[in-house]
Amino acid sequence: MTRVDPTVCRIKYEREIKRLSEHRAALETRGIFVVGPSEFPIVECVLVPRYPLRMAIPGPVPLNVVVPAGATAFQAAEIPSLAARAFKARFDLTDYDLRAPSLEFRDPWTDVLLTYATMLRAIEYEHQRQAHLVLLDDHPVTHKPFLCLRGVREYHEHPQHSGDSWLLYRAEMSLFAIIMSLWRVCIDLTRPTVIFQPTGLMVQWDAEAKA
Amino acid sequence: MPKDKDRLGRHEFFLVFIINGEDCKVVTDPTAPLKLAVAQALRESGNTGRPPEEWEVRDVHGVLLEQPRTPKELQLHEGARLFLSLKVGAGGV
Repeated sequence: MTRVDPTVCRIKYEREIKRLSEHRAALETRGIFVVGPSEFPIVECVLVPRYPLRMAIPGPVPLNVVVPAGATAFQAAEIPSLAARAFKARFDLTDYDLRAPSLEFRDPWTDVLLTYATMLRAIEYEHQRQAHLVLLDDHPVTHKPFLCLRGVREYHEHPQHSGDSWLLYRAEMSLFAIIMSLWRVCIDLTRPTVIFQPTGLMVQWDAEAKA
Repeated sequence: MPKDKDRLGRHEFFLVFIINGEDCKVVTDPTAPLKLAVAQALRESGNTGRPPEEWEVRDVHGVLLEQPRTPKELQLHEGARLFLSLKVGAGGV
């Protein structure tokens, strides 16, 4: 059951679509593609990661480097033809803007909800906290992977963030701004490294130390 | 009179802040701290609900700009389009 008059909600939805449309070029230069046609109350965009994948394999220790006994040295290289997978961000603006937009991560080809094991990792970097993971695996209400970021419904309606209401921010935070934040933590800061270890493959996600 | 000239016909330096997807053009002094232009942009766009310290400015490449520095020091050209948004607030681990 909706809590906002659908007519009001639709007007606000269309305002957000218009803003996205006006800044389409700015979004696309960041690898954000609004896909459509958008149908109330849904907005979908595909985000395309840009950083090349790095691979690290065990290698010989260079002669001029001293490593502790038992430690493994790695050689790393970028693979320019590979990157993390693109994903679809699906925003649901039901009850907008009494409630923040809800965000789901989907496969851009099949539209199937992504599972945490198949997803990239979103990381925010701040000087004080340093890098921290903001894509978490199990929301206590939806039991889906969720972005723990201000502006996203799953953040504001998480029991641990009951003191940081969306209503404190909604006047200063549009869907455009939320998508730019999503881009920062998923695309601009984050890059994967595949590490070959004797026990198998591991994907390590690192954040650029960029405030 | 062209919009980028003042009443005496002198050239005026301006920046364009994109706030929540809407443009806000601000005439400013290129040798004054960027934070003055930010405060003006927030005021003129009606974004006064959160304190200015909670906002950040990034250029088109996503690079954070230091607000105590001046547009001249930051090598911002006239009409530069800057993204002014609330800082990313995150939970997470």
